[in-house]
Amino acid sequence: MNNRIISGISFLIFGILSLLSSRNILLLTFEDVIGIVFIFYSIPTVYSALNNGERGKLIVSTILFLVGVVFLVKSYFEILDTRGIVFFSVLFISGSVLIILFIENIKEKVFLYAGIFLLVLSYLSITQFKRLGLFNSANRIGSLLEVFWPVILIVMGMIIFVYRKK
Amino acid sequence: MDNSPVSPLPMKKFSRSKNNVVIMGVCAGIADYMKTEPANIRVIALLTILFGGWSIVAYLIAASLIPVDKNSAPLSQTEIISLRKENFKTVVSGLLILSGFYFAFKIIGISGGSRIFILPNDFIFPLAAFALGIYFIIIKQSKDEIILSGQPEKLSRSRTDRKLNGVCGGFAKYSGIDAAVLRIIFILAALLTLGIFALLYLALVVSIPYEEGQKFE
Repeated sequence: MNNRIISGISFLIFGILSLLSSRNILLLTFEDVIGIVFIFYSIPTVYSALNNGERGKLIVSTILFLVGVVFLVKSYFEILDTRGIVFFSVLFISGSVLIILFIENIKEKVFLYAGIFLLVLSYLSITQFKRLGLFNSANRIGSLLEVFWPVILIVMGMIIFVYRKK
Repeated sequence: MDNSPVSPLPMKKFSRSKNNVVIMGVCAGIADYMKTEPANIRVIALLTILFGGWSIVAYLIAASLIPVDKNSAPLSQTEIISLRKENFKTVVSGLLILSGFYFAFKIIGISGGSRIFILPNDFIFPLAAFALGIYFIIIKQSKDEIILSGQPEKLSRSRTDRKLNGVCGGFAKYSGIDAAVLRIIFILAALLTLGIFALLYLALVVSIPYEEGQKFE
């Protein structure tokens, strides 16, 4: 199955689920729908990207898979304070991406060490960092990003637009 | 003195582009007529969706009325690939800017986009997803998409594409992701993790060597 078909089916699933949930036929939140679609898209894409050595696609689909899992977990366990899991999620997702890059090319040991470092830090972040008060500072930055995230989207779009010919 | 009448310049015909196509080549046709970059017209066209989405209808009408330019010379395979990459980046950047403005207006309270055409958004977005899904399934995968763009076997810091020490540039080359996007993600992650990513950057500077066989820019 090529990537276009996977993307196409993912869009169709998004369309069907969001239509059914908006008509209250299925009781799914937007986070549930996004989580299901991300996981559906990423599993076959990770598999094919690993086989073909497409690293960019591998990174993006691993991130999407883990973001999908975070969305579903957040919705299922009714975690209301999203900012409380951002710190852990960023570290865990980046660590996992580096580990999967190591699996793709086991000669690059730097990915393994950096990945383990980030995964250990992500574990410490939910056990030790609360005591040190690091969460409060991270949450303050998180609140700023929560307000200004459309600006980040616009800036990202403009940077890609400027460097489109590179 | 030459008194022969000056022949008028041949009038430029307005037509859809045959080579530079994202959907139907209308934007590239307009850009060619106005002698500007097609990317500018594409981003502006995407931004007009903010005003109720009627530009989509206008686009479809234009596509059905304007003929395709049959005189343009066919492009080589490399030109097609680079044009496709550029168009992909243009569409992604346009969509990011569009969604950024959409959500910014929504947060500020200038929500003119609660409805697109006469349908509410919770109905139009699933329909758009259906359309995109069917589009992705029915179009054929061209051969050049399957060819991989020679990613390097070894991770190294870039000497040419660098802002500090070339880690993001080298990683961009290794993974095939745009270096600018990687840099923004890295900065955001560094902010969200209180500088842990800055420490990681320093560790990567120490552990990853510079690429061989190239001098500094």
